Amino acid sequence: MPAGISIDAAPPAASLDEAEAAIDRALAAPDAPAALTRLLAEDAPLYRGRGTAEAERLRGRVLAGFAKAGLPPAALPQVLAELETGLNPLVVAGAARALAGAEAPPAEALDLLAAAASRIRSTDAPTSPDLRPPLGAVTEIVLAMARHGAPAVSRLRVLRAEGGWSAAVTAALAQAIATAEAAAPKGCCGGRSSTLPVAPAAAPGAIDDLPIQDQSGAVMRFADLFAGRPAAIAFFYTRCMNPQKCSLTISRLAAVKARLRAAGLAERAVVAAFTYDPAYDTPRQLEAYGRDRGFPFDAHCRLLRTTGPLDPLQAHFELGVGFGPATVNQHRIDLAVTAADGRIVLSHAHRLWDEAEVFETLAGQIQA
Amino acid sequence: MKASEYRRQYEAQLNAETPFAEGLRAAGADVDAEADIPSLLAVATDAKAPEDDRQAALEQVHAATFLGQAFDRHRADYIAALHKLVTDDAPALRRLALEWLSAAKDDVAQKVLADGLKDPAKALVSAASALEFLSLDEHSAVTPLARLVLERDKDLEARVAALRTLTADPNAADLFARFMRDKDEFKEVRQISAVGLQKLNENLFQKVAQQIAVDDHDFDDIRATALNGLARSPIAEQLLSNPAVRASAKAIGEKLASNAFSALLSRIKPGSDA
Repeated sequence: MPAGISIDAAPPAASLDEAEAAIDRALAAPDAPAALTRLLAEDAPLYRGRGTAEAERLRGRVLAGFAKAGLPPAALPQVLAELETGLNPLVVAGAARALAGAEAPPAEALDLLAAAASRIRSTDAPTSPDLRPPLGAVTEIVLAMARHGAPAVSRLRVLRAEGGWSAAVTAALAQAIATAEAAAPKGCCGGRSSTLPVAPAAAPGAIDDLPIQDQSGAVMRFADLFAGRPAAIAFFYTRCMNPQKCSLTISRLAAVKARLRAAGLAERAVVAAFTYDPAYDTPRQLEAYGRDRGFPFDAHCRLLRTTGPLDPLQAHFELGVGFGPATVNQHRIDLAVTAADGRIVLSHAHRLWDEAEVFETLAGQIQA
Repeated sequence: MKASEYRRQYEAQLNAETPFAEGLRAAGADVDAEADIPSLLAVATDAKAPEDDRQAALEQVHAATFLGQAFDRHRADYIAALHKLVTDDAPALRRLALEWLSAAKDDVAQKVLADGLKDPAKALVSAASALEFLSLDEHSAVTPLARLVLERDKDLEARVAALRTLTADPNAADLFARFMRDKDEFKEVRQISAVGLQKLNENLFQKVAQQIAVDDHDFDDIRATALNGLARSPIAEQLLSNPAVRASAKAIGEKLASNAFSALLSRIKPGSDA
């Protein structure tokens, strides 16, 4: 290389061994459940600067640690979210194992486990050899289902009836059904988990001057688009590999817009999504991504990016997103509904959100 | 084909003159995922079997991954076998294992490839191949490694692979601009830098490309690359109205007699510079 040219190599992340040692230290700490929960944050230093595969390997290890340390209520939404939308077998297996640390896992966990087994069957892989015992990811899920006792039997039988499982999974299913049948009925809280995160205490107007750009290339201040109208604001990026997250988010936002239109409220609320990856997601990228998903662009319905760093937006909405060297390495599902004065009145994190709930919240704000 | 029958055939082939691998590849269409895959994986991971046979067996299993649900029951065993082959003594098997695991965004393969790029003494494949495989996952941590290769390696193939990798990194635009301008660099490096820069930052590309296009001291093929990129830019017509750019395009087009240039030249009206 000719003299004088600097390649600007970024400082490398700590070695994987060091990162795994950090997880082991958290697991051995007196407050292990809280220490592990802190390591679940997508932007935790543990994951910074790593590729997604490495970050997810670490995340799977953190999740599996809850089986030993105990699963606190604060970590339950992350565990359920991985079972609901996760695609990486290591992470999903870690989440399944984590439930063993819960005092009384919610009943919905059983359905999420069964759905996760079907979702990752085509990517099943051995879990990390440092998780003892090392099992296939689907086997981990099946064993986690058995721990729910009698309520798991019918779901396990449905899985077995699907057929086409490996010999190891088939054996695990037989064992799990026998275990669950023999178990005494287990007290279990019912229904969907009520552990929803508290809405961020963001100061209204704090990011009014933030420069943003929409899919057409138009540049404006945050307040130019959002001030004076209720808004549904979601977050995504076009290179997301999980169709259950970003792609579905944009499709569901389009459905929210359709409901507003049907109710004659389309002009009275903003429906928008910001990319986590503003350097890569140019207006052209945003426009193509929205068009491919039927996103009904108009003056009150846009895909956006910050023209500078994402940090102010990330801090304001307390977004769960972490970054590798070139792009996002992991993120949760994030959506906020803001009032006309900018207050955050509804916040969804981790779990899939319901478009009817978002529409009703917007309608309520419009009529307030 | 039943597993027992397959095993008999394999053992017979080991004692015969006809290469086993040849017969296996010829029978590829008849592979029965249910019965054959465990045996094929056993052959592929058997260090004592002939390398060609092992590769043929592995290729058959890989082909079966496209069977969809019928293959699912074998997937964990297949991945475990590939993990085992990553450090095999046979370079071709190592390479196949690393490539296919990388395509599946496998973290074990990515770690091995990254370790080899950081410390070439540990490399199991060439730097260019390692970068190519890591780039199969847009979310891998390959960009710092590509920058490391650019700093360290003089090998053209490795440098080209590193630059291809960086075309997915929005932070690499300035780097591409510097390489595009650098007359001491390999021609291929400058051309790929032009493509990467145009993808990542059209405005900066236009600025650098215009400088190169009218630089009589630069190489004609690099000037042609710059002009071709300008001709595809959103402001091509405006750029072609610049007499200096037009004159360069005509002069270089005549010198190189390039077909790729004909579309650009056809957009310059005859006599418009008279």
